Amino acid sequence: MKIELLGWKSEGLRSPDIEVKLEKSDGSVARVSLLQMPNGTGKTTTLNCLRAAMDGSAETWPEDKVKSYREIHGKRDLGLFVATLRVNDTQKIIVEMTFHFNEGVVTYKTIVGSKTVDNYSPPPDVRRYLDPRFSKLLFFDGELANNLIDGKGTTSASQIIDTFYGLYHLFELKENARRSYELYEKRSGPAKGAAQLTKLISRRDSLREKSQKLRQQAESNETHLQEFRHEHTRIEVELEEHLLKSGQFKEEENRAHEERDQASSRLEVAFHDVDLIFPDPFAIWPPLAARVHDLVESLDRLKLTEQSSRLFLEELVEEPVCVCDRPMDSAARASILKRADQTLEDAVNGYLKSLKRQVQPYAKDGPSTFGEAVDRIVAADNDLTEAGKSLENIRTRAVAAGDDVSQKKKDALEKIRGEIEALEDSVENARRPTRTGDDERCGCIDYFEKRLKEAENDLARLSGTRDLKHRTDTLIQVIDSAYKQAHSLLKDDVVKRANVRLRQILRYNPVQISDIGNSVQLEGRGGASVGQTLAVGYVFLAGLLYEGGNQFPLVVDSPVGSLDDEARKELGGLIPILVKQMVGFVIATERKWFVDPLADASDGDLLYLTHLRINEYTKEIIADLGGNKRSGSENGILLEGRDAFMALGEGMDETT
Amino acid sequence: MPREEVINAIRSEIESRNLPQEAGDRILAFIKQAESSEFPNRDREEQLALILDALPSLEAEQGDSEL
Repeated sequence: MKIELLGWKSEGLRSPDIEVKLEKSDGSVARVSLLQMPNGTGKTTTLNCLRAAMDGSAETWPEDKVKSYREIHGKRDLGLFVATLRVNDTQKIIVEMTFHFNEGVVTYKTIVGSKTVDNYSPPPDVRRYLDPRFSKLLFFDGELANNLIDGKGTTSASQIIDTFYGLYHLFELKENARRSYELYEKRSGPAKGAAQLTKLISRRDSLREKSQKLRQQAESNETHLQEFRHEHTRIEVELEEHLLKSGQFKEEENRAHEERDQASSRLEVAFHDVDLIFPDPFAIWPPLAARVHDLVESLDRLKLTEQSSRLFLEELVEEPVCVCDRPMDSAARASILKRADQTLEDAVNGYLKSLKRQVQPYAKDGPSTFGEAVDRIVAADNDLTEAGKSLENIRTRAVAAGDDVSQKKKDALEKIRGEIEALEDSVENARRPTRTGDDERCGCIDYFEKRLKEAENDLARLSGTRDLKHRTDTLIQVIDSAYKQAHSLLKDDVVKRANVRLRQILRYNPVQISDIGNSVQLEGRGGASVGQTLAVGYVFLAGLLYEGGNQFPLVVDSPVGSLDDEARKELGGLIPILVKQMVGFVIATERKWFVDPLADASDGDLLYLTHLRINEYTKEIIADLGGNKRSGSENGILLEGRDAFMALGEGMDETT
Repeated sequence: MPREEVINAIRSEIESRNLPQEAGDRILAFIKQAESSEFPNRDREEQLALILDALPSLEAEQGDSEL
């Protein structure tokens, strides 16, 4: 699917009346279109209308919201916003939104080719991509890419994967099944037990709510924990670098580091030993070996095994036919009795001797191999703690002998450590299995899920819907497992492709994605610059937008708003490589360090547009700006051209 | 059409749980129609009922486990 944004037109709205055409004279759209709109020109109005034209969401806007789009001091009762899209290079789709300000409603009209429909009705194959879940990813502010990395945005990276690959339909089916069952359950309840049923439903709902809340809380705590750990490592490195500058403690610190590394290796080896010992029950519990040893001794004395086997053979020779179906003649009888002595003696004695040999090393009173390994773990762990304390001690002394910067960093580390410990406790408590003594005041997810399951089963029994519940549960289990499988495969593929792309475009200093969860996680996060971090966000999104020959426009509000000079340059050079159509809404202060690299990277395929509201001040400067007038009305003008774009003073953002 | 990864995941889950293939087909039919965006609630309910019908009953499962 290829969707291009060809332009839009607005009339009678809060933004000036204007028509923006993104098509070039040859009918194609520029790779990058920059639309400079000083504050007060209606940038937010335009972005919201564009989004609503794409996804049809204005049909449900509340009355107040619709009325708020009316031009200030405007007399017109109707407003109009028209967006034009092109699908697969041929089909034009025009979506018209009419704002009825007196009634506070928006009505839609959709024109596809020669067919006009009086509502929001893009063709079904296109509509999937205009769904709000999908289209919201095509309209974002410059911070989204960054949010994807730090996980602080409202949309998680993992959810974006679900959206692009339509995995959310699995959740829809699951939700449908759950809701449908609950409705049936409610209706099927016995008249006599109605009160009990209501009580159970209320209990189930409250348990479900509690369980969901705890799960969300745990996820949020895990994200914070990860952030605090990164922050702790970063400050720790900074502090060490700062302290080592003086050189006074360098040698001491190196020694402590060495001790810590050695203790860490010993701990690893000891754990490995325990892994090897685990399959051997005698090594884990020496008394077992002693008891088996006693048993072997007793058997040896009693010759029980041998006697019972001998009895069997003595009885066998009395039979007319052998166990192998051969007739038992005198030769066979003599042979069996002769060999029995030899074989039984060898086999039984051999087995008992071997067993004795096996348990002998453990059966004495000496220390257990397992116990020794555990002792080694404890010793190595103690050494590790001691080495950590030594390091801490060196740092404390260095800080005492140092400056305010060291003290501040140490304080910050202590504070973060406190936060980490509190979060670790909280996550551990939420994720642990249920234990005796838990009640509904505990924060354990497992506890509430078990109670929820019980409540659901009680409800199913009372309402006579056990069979339907069984089928619904089966369906939900199938969907959950299938989702995990599909999501994991798709995620791995996204990571792989994004990493190849990152190695290509950040050749000199590549960063790599390690995983995608709530956020896009980077390998060695500490080393990524702001520009690299943003590059990862854009690579991730662009990789999805253009996968499998798909192409969608990317509408970005303030692409470099809060970035420093270096990051602006990096991003300016990257965007044209990554996207096929980007429409950026900028203000004058964003041009610096961004526009030139962007122009270079797009090989001139860049459309410069400047949109101004007509007022006393702008009337005077428009002639000086130059540029070609692309569209104009009583209250707005659109100029095309780099000169006009670059000449607009930065002070415009304060004066309009 | 649902993604190949989704189709394979559903089929493999159905197979590993010894559930009827028909149930998998109906789950995929539901997802396919959900993707088309024209999927009124009534149709959803009908398709859901077909999926649930294709899954083994509690009685059948208990019978199997007793064998």
